[in-house]
Amino acid sequence: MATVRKLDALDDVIHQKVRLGVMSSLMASGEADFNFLKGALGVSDGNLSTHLTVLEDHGYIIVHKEFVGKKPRTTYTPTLAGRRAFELYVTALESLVRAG
Amino acid sequence: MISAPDKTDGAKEEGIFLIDIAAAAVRAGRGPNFMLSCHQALCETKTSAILCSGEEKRAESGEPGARMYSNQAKPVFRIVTSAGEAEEHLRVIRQAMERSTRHSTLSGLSGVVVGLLALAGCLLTQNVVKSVATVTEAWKFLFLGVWGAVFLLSLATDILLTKRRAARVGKTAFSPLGKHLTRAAAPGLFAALAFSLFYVRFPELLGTYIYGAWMLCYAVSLLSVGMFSVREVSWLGWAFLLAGALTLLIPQGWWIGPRAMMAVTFGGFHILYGLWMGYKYGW
Repeated sequence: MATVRKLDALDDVIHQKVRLGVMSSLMASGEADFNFLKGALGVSDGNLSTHLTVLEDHGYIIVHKEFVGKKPRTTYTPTLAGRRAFELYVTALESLVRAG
Repeated sequence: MISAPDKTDGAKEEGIFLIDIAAAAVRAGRGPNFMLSCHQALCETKTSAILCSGEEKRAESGEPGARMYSNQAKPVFRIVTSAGEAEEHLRVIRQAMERSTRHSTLSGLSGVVVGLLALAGCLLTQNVVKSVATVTEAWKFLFLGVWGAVFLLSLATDILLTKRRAARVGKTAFSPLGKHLTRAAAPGLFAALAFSLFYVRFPELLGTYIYGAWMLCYAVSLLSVGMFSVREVSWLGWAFLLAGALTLLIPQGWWIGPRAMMAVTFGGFHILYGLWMGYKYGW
């Protein structure tokens, strides 16, 4: 049942294309700002911010707001919990693809 | 045969294939084998179906794979997509990661500038080390001074242009990834420093072979960095590795000497790399 429990633990938070994309991007880059994520994932502002909020609410990412000159800049970094969830998710995905 | 996904459940409609098989397996009290057979059958039949424990959806689905599940599964569960789902999600991950690590902060312009600096270095040292016999104290330090300056200027150029490019794509150059790259590059550069110090002590022993040694050291750095970066960096590393070996093995008095190789590699290779990177990923 170990595999089942592992998969079951992967809640819907990460199993969604945009959020999965955000997490992948952040895992790879360490941190990124809103516009970078928007460009990398090719999604709309509203869509992205909704999903970022979900990730933030679940403690998978940390939001950092600052001003560069007069422009606000929001950067996102994955938390330890977020990293762990992502790794579990990828492991489960791999094992399923391999089994299938 | 395929029921439209529940529109009120926007997050889930993207696909809850894995999760739902797992959840269904748990609720049905079945183990991994059940999940695997679900997954396998879906792959085989290429089915997209929403399945219920009751018989109501069974007629709708009409697929062999689907029937198998509805006979087996007691609880209500649904499978929104089919075989491609896991692969699709792996693709999402790969793409997002590639767009985020690779080519995002490497600047094409810096390759070109570094190449030009190296060519300038070659021109300046043209008369410095002509042969092993003519190495004098003054020339030795002039030689190392020129190349040291070329190296420091190149480093500064690279840092500045990388920062500029990083700012443009919305990242900082000194992110954890940037630290990885620096750490990867360090051993090779340290080895090059060791060769340079050795050259200061025994210039006659090393002579123009220092060029080949530098190329090999730099190749090691590039190949390490290449592991965290675009494949072009690795290509450049391999090119330097081969060129470095070649430079050490060229017999004296050939039509191409070590310094010419320096111009070809640190000059030419960098410029080609920079042009390619700029063209492919941006300046």
